[in-house]
Amino acid sequence: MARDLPTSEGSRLHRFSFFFVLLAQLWSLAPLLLAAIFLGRSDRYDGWEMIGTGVAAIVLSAYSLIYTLSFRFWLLDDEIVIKKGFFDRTLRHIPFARISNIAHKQNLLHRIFRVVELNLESGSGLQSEAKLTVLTKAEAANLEQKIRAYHLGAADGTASNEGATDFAYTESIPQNFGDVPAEGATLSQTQFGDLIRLGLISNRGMLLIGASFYFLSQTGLSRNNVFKGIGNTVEGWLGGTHGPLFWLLSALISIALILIVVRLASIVVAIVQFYDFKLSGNAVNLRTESGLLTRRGGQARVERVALVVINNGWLYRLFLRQSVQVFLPGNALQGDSMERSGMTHLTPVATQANVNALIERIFDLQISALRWHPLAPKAGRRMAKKALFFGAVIWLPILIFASFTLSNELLAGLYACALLTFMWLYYSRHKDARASGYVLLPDFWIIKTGYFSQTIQLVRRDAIQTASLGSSHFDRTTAMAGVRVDLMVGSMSATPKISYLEHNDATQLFHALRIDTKKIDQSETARRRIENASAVSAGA
Amino acid sequence: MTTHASFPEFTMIDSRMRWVWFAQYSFWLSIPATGLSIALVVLGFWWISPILFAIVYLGSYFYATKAYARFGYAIAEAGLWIRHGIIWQAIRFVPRARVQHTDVIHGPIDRKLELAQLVVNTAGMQLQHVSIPGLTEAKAHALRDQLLMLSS
Repeated sequence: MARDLPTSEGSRLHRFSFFFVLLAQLWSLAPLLLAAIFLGRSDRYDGWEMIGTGVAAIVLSAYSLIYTLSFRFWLLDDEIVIKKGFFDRTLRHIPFARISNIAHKQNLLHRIFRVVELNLESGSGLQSEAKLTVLTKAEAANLEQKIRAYHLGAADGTASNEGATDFAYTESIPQNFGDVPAEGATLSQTQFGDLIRLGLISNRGMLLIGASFYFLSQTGLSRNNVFKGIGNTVEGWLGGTHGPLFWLLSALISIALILIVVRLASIVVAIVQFYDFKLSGNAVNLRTESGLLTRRGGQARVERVALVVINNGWLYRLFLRQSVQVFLPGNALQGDSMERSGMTHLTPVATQANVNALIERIFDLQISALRWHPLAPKAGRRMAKKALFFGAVIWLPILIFASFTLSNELLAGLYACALLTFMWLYYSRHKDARASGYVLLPDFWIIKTGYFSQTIQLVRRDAIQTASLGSSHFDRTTAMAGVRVDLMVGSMSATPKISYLEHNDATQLFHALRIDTKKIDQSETARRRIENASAVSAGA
Repeated sequence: MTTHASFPEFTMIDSRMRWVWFAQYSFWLSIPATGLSIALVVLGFWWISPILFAIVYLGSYFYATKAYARFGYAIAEAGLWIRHGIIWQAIRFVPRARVQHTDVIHGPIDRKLELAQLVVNTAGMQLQHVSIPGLTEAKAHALRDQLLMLSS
């Protein structure tokens, strides 16, 4: 029998909510408004701005009014139900067991009106489960007290709240909350020489280069002056001639100069970011600290590390080094690791032997002893075909255009370049396919992808949120499929997935990944909670 | 590797979703098609416009029908299954314990047809919303309860 829906009127937001929702809308449009003010031309004022502003004001006000008037919520025994929306009407059920944090927001305006904005968070790091803009302090306190009482009941082992054990597992507590300081040996320490290698390996200097160009342009020394200087030098070497050799030498020296500057900047960034990087702890807790100007770092329980990414690209291999990133719930913002806070690396740069020892010590995993399950035999061919198709899409228009405009000698050179590109694509994709694979262990799913830009991902199976088995049209014609999982952490570049598996392998892998014994135990707990609740109501 | 290689029997959604999707696809495709048609009329190729709109509507109908035939869901002991996609086909599984909250949404067309959409949200980063459109309101609530194990 389905649970009865709330039949009462429910609670409304505070009567000043309209004002706060409108303010939030205006705030989110602030960049646009500022751009309109500063970029608008005052000499062309013809009334359209007034009409535009009026329409925007009406739309925003209407939205805020509809949002506020349509918003209702019901506080039930173990969940909060929210009804909102006018065109798209939404009825949202949020079990208390899933709420891991209640965030208050009270700025000066909130204090003046004696109201609070409440965010009910689950900790996925993306958005809150519900935002209540705004409530009176008494209402907010009541709501918070009810949710806390529910969780305290779970902590006391009260039968009716057993499902709230999920609270402990949601892993959605803020990054440093509840993590005890790690005490233990230094597990990894980065040497200064390795930071220079890291700067040479990874491209961290572009931001600094951009800032430098801005600085140079401000001081009157522009890029043109630099390149003119190169031109003059080369001209001097060649005795004033401006033949093809002049252009070739100038271009080569300019490219070399840019590469050197970028790498130097990259070294500076690596040193500033990772100077004296230290990882300490034991098999339970970890702590990192690094930085030249500001010491940054974080601490976390090992069991909360949801994803580990070992970077092992060709430049890393050339320098006989690897880099190990970690992703924890709460610090998983979009973008790359430089944008994340808290613990981001187990080591920014270390030898392969040290990385293997580190992984073995922390996660009890021997990377070098793993037996990788390969991709489908025809995976390389599929990958090469795809790369060649996109290569052709880029090269064909260039070659067609060039055949009408360039001389035969230059055209032959261009054809040679295109041919080399296609040969490289074919070779590299086959190499990538052979180097890729996966291993499924009881606690981890380990994925190795690529050869030239190789990464090894250690996915903690406990942290998997959803699993997906997918196939494109070409997959189906070649009996292949791919598997991907979603975690509470990661970024676009670190989504755990593997493609081009044989269909049967992919299906087996998908079924193995979707089964999570720990979670089934929790479902059982939830079922017992329902049965207990039914028994209590039957007894009453 | 442990194998549990079996998929459940998927339940189809309400057949009227075919028309909802057809209306949505054809509406959004009509906007660029109208712009293109105006350009064609101006350039003197007015006769291409009817062909363009025929392609838009037939294509939308074909795609909506295929999407309806492919979409399926199942609620099992361990969690929720969704099957979807035409060119890129996927089967997705959401473990029961991973459900953070659920939404039952009624859009304007849904309300006209007395349909609802159940959206199951997880704490994931990229596949955090899983939706089942084309349900009756009672069915959407029953599924929600079934998923959260609130029914006996």
